[in-house]
Amino acid sequence: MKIQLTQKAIDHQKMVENCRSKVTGAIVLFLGTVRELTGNEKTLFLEYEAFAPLAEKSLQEIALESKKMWPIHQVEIIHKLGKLEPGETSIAVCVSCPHRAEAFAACEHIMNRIKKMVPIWKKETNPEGGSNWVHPISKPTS
Amino acid sequence: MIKIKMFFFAGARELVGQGCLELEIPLSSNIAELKKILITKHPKLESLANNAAFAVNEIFVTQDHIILAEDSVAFLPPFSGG
Repeated sequence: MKIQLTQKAIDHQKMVENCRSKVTGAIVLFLGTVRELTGNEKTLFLEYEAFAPLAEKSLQEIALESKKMWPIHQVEIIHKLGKLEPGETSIAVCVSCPHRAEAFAACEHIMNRIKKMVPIWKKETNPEGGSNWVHPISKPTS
Repeated sequence: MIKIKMFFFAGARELVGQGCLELEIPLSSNIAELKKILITKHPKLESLANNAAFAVNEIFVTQDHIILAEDSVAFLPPFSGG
């Protein structure tokens, strides 16, 4: 299991090789990449910041929780922080399992949990120089 | 009164104007009461505060968690990682 916050480019090929084994039949790799257009809004670059000690702890908990839910052989999660330009990888999640259905399910679960549980934030800057922090406000549950 | 350390991140840090500050709060205040104190001092924080998570000494806590002297409290606005 490997969890990392980094300022460097994510080497996802290395993650795949770390997850490869003779006892598993499926490796699922998810890459989150910076999108240039959201609707009609253009993004020049993103800046990610984290409350690092708690973010790392939360990522560990998500990985351990997922290992209890699926027969995960290996899991690696790396999130890049700092400035990222369109096309760059902001997050990579790699999971290996005996079969593909559980590898897909585990990878999706991990990403969904990261979005909800991990104290990491992004700030969008547009070509005009305007910028704003993205803080999705959850709708009240009825 | 007790002294605590407050840490702000992302949009909350920009609204407050600094990432870290010392704060005096009444003895036995909980997170919900701290939120009210913060909103009184920084009214612009209200919308984020109502949707923020809080951590004390790097552990997530609920609204009724009692804050102790010298605690480090983190104001965590809604997350947008990934």
